[in-house]
Amino acid sequence: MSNILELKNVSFDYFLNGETALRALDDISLTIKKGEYIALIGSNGSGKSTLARLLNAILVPTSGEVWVDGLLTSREEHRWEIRRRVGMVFQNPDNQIVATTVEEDVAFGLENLGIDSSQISRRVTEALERVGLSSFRHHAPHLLSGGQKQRLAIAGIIAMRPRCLVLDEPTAMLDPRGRREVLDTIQRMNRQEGVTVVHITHFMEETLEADRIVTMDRGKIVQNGKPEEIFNGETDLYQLGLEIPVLLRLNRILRSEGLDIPANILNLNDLVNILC
Amino acid sequence: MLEVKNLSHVYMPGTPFQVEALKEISLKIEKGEFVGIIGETGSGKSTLVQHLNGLLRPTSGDVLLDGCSIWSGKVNMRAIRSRVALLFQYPEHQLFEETVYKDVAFGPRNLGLDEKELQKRVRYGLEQMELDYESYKDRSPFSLSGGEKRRVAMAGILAMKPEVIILDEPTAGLDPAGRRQLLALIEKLHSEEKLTVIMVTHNMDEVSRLANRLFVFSAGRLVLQGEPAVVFNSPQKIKEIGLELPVLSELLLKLKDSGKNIRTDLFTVEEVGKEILEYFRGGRSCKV
Amino acid sequence: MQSITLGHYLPGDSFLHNLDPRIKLLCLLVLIVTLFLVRTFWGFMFFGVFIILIFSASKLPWRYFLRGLRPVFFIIFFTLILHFLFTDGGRVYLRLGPLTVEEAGVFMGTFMTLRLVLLVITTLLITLTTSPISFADGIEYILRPFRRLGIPGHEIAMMMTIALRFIPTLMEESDKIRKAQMARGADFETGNIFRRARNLVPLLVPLFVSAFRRADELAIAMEARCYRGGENRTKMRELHTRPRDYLGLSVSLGMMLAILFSGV
Repeated sequence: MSNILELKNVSFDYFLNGETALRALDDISLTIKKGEYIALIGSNGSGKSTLARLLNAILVPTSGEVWVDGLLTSREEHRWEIRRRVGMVFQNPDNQIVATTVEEDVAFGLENLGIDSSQISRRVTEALERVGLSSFRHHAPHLLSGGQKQRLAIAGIIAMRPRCLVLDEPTAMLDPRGRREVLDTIQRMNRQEGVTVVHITHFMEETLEADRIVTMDRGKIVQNGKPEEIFNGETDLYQLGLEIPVLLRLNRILRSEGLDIPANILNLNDLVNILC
Repeated sequence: MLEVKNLSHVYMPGTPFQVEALKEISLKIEKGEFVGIIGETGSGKSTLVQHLNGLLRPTSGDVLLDGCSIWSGKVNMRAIRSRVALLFQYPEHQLFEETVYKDVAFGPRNLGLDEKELQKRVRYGLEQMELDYESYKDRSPFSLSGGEKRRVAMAGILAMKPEVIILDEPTAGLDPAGRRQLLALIEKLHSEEKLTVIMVTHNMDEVSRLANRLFVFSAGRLVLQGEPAVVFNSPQKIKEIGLELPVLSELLLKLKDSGKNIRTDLFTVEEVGKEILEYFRGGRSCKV
Repeated sequence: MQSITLGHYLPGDSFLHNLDPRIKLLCLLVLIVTLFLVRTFWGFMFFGVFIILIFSASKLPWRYFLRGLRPVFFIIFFTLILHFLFTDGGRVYLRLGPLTVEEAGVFMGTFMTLRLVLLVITTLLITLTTSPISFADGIEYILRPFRRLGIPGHEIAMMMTIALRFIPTLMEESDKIRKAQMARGADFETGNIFRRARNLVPLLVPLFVSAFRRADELAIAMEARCYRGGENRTKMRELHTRPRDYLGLSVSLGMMLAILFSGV
């Protein structure tokens, strides 16, 4: 499988009055393959969001290179194509909806790309179907629930037919039902449509379905591996401001007391099966 | 100490937008309790807590504080709001002053306290939130990190020296470390400062561990109440109204369903681990 | 806050809903001019019948429609009273101390009131059947020829859209902040006007901070979705004038000419 995202020795500094105020990313290298589902975790201020914004040329690195599908983000002429290929969903569902009806909002990105109006309509229909919002087509966005708003944001992105979806804490402001809706949608995009996913989250439970977890701390990548490796490994996640999901904490206790719980047991049903 | 009697609330009565948000709610909260209020978005939780300190007026029914109706007109509403403090979701959005000191002092100042008492109150509030008074008091609240802002907002409530604090999703949007820290501080307020805590939350794992009693709302009605062990012992009912069980309860219930003689009223990882180990070691597995 | 129904779009599917927004704006202009050409009560009657026909073609629920009129009711009533009392001439109908209600006043009052009512109704008919977004579209198109004069049609339309999009969000937010400060003992209801204004600070500062944060995040989100201004941008719903649009415009123009030449 080929790489869709490639970061080569990337550093990023925030400047204030011409001086480096903060080194947000410090010499990061990372490759992500086509179709992968990556969970990106780390405490606040660890550099996750900065990293996300480098992936679609909202920011360009202070030093180093970010390659997206063979395009270099620091090259002006690649910028719009990169943004089409890498879609972003943000934390606050309200602050990314531009239009006053659901369908107009989905169409927003397509209109920016200068796509033919007859095609826009078709793609909007299709995108709304894929996130399960077809029946809300003519609704005003502010009347939707949080989960629906985030799915609308996702629809607006996938209508542009991106190859990669970068989600910056998309579930942070949602209730459990909304979270489930959004997670299901993301997983479906990844599994059925082969869209590469980079999912930033503070909810450790949400990372268990990922192919790979990347852990960040103070601008550096400190871990990069499968969920079972991250959560069963030796690194102290609490030290990094993170935590271990409840069930895996239980597994640890049971294991340390001699029960034979395999490391790849990550969800409830598997644990029940093992214990029964 | 707090009592809600046959309370109903209708939003925008007499218009086509009329919504009956709460229907005939009665409940009692005793001094020193840690109460969890759970329910789906739109179930009436937020409407209820806004009645407890008089921000909303019941359409019918009453709210009693120490046996007195808060709407009797005899009590000053400010005094009530300082005794029953309410912190909304994302409270950092209410910060507005130039300095942390001034912002935390806003609530107590509204109570008409003198400058000396104010300073004491601000210090108390900040210290309860583990924010060093000297190093924070002159900073702009807008320059703080998300977690710090949240704690400053909470300090502003505590500086009114309330007896009851109502917290609406206090940990929403925080990172794991921030969540852990804030919950620990809230626990401390309950155990050491003896505050009555009412927490509205979606997080079943947290609330099952912290609260001594739960009220479960669905579609404007109070559908279940009792200790967490009692409430989560009705898994059908909980799922019916669109809520989830705490992960550990779900595990224990599933184990029990498969014929294992195991306790289901435990909510911490340590307790549950011990129970499972005891079960497998203690040979209880033969009994069934 | 509930009186915000003034000009609040009501989705639907009718002749009026489906008219091209540019044409609708033109029709509105023509009809407003027409109203000022009317000279007699017969003219208003004629116009009123016309509006009733249009109204029934709009399939709007009349209750909702009347609610939209409520906020301007006071202005209309005020106009009527002013004319009744202060326009002099002709027979005296009623004496109220130093004030009199005279023939010319009643005539003028009724006349002006009818004009105002019809004006509001006509405008409301258009705004209630035009989604804000197509309204913005219409304005963008109409302003397009003036681009060379430096009038940024696209930007104006985009600003309108975003404003419309965020008004409900910010209203909800201001309600929440107001309550949060009230929980801290803030008082927004008593005191004189200066005191009240000062008491608004705890509400306005957070509201502004939040609006700026939203604007910032929205700008990034828009950029991430490839927004780069109006250049080379397409529209999902391209505006095409169809026969019915010409019909609509001809009817409005016909109305104007009829009133103009019949002299009613």
